[in-house]
Amino acid sequence: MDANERRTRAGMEAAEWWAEMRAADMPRPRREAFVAWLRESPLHVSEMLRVVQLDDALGRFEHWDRISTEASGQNDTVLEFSGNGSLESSRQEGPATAAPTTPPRATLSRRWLAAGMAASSLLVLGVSLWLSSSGQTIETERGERREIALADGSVLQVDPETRMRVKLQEKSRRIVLDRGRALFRVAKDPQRPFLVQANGTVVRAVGTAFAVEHGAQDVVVTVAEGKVAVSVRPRNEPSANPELSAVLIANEQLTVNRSGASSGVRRVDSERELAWTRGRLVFDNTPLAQVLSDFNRYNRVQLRIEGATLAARPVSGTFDASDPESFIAFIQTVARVDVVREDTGNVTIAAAR
Amino acid sequence: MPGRPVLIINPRQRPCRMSVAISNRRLTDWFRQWRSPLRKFLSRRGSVASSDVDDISQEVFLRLLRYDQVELVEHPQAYLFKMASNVAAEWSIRARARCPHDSKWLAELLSDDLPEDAAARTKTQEDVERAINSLPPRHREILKLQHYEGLGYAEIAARLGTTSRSVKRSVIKSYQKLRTELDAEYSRVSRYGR
Repeated sequence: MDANERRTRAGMEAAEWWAEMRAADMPRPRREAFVAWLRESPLHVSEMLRVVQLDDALGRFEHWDRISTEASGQNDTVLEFSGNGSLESSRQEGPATAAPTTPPRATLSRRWLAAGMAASSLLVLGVSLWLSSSGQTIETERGERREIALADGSVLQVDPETRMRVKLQEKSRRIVLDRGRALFRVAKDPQRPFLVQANGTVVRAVGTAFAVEHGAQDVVVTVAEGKVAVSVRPRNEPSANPELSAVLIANEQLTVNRSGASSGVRRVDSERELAWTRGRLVFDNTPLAQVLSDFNRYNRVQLRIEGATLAARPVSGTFDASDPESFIAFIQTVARVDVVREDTGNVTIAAAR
Repeated sequence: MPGRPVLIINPRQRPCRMSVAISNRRLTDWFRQWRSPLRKFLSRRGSVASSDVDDISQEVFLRLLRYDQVELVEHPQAYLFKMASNVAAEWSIRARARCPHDSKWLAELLSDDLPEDAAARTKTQEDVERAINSLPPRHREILKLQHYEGLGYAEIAARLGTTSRSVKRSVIKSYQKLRTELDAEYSRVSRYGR
């Protein structure tokens, strides 16, 4: 569904809610459903306010007496002479208008449920969001993942320990990724390019899905769908010509290091590379110390390791990021380790004596 | 021309609790109480550009996420309108601080009257009339009974010999159509009118 369809549907749902609340006081379950609907997307809030605005405008309309309700009234507009009016009204009696009077809840509540499940398996601290002169800031903490829908219809999947600033402007949609990583599902809008900037690297997209990771050393751009243009500028000279630019298509990845150099575009399996967006951690001969630090980013329970040899031990496999217990069970079967649980819930893994 | 206003909001600042007195008021009363700043903001010429309503909504949405679910469910409409009018008001204050020389605009925001001048007001009335006239006659009639004669769905249904369900459906369709019509009108104005 593209951004326009989403908006049209949101507008219809908003009109349905307004009609329902105009008719009578809503019982508690309906109010709960309404709050859930509002909290699903800023688009819902926006369309709701537009309906209210429209209702207000109709309430202030001064010439109802001039509005004709006859099919061939003298005040009819040109539109009616073209036959559109009668077409509409004949359709009104047909089965085509037997549209559901309640919003299509099924898909929405499924999404709601999925979000709830994600929240229950993770420590969700409530994302710190605020607006500053440089736009709106989205910040997640350790163990906190968040899916955020922007007003333009784009959806961001934000990983733990990520900070970014969002600025939706008339001519462009800009995101500055200060640290961490996120997947961007960009709503198509050719008039407003979607730009993600991370440490001098600028990724430009028009309707696509891609991830940007701003790590301590590198910026990694991975494309899941569509096409993006990446350009790298010298850090302190935003007006300088790009030092490097590349076009990435689906299943391609580009890593840019701190000094702006890159080893070129790599072909990757984006499903696998972006497994973290589905809450999965994929390791391929990854040292155990790194594996634990990845788990720690997603969980309140912190894992610690003792012993340099054990820390360097390579691990391969795919795990549920929010389930460190399964990983501990796994490591106990493949290596001789002692697992010590502290009162705080934290776990120390040491080589077996 | 000054830049678009920017919102600066303290992240720890929560919307103030609403008084219990509001609990017995009906929907329209809630809206009437909160709509003034909202209307002032939304009806300002050039501010009807869809990106502005979207920006307000983005901030309202974030407040809804932060707000206590149990309280929201008590009076969701009232909270929605209050948050929206708060955001609109804060937006105006910030804009005033940023653009102190734009005094006409400032005067409009501070006055209790509608900010539109006579010409803009006439234009808005014309736009709404044109949009209403683009609806099929039956839909126009139902809207007229609702807004001009102040009838409820059941009364309209009785008058027209149909069901309230079908009246409600007609209203929903009309609102959807009018929203699209007026949005097109306003985006044309804001695109060429600057």
